Amino acid sequence: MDSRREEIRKLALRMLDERDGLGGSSPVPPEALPFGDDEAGRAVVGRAMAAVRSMAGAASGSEGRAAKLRGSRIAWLAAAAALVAVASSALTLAFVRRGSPAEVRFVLEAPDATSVWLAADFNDWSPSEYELEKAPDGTWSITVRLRRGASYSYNFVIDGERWVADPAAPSGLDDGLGGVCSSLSL
Amino acid sequence: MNPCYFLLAMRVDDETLAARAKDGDERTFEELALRYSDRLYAFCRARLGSENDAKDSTQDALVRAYRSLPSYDSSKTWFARVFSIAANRVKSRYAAASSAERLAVRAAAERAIADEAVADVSGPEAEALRALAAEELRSAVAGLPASLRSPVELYYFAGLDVASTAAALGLGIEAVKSRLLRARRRLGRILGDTAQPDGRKKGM
Repeated sequence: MDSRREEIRKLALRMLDERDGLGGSSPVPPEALPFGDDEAGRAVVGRAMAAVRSMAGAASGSEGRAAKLRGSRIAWLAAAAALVAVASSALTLAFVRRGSPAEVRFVLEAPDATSVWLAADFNDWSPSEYELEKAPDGTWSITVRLRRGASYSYNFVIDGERWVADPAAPSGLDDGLGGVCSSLSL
Repeated sequence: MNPCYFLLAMRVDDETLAARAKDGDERTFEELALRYSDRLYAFCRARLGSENDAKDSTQDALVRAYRSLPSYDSSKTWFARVFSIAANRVKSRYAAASSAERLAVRAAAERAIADEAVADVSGPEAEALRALAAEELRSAVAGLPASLRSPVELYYFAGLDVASTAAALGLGIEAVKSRLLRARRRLGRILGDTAQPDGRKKGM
């Protein structure tokens, strides 16, 4: 290894030492982060807020439409729930054949949870798009229409912050972040 | 009284701000976003390697945090929620790239380091070296197993303390400490440091 490369590696180690030197109970000041970029951070907030304001404006201008969509969605969910009512409680997933699309019921037993959401690659890992409904027995469920012939990854999000794999899923995958997401192939 | 202490005393906690933002106060959400945007950006930048991807993912995470406000329980930690969303945005973006693309990005970064190693660094020497060292560190961290990489990214790259790292990952504090120590030893070996401590780092 040439001396320049060695110098860079030593400096990389020193960066770790500097952080360790602050102690585990102290956060690092943002300006001292290895990839800290105050300007980039502020610029991103500007862009995010523009998107947020645009969403807020769109929402206030279409409340009636949104209400109709919500009503329609609830009706659809009720119909979907009826379609999968025959699903065995021992199975997490139940499939109802209906041509190329498949209606998949996601079920999680979490009697103590106050909310459960489904975050998956098919909803771009949004933790706030698919909310499961709670049954009196403490199970939460939602039915989602997916396409056959594809594989999907998903997590349940409990109370908005705890991402968990499906304990009854056929298989799980390393999510690359120290956790596991469940895998489903149709 | 030191004005800094006065300002600290006046600082409203995240969860109160989040509750206000939940009621539709956009300015309050902006204040919350500004509190963590630099750490979120640094975290995404370290994971993704590209400045543009990091900006997009950070923005995405903030917008999704806003969108998910209706389901936010203000008795829970706000930053843990935001970092959890950011981690998943990064995961999604990371998974979207093929492994061949990731290898190409990594190879390009390593070439850049090698090129710099033989060239004169123009501009402020220290700053250039630090940027190269950060890239070297990022490359070393990318080689860690996922269970060790995540705490490292939050602790060393986002600069969170151990308790916050644990909260963001949904792990216990002792589990995070243990993973950080194991990761630190491995990074020492990867980067060529042979004098690693056997016990816990001071203060961790």
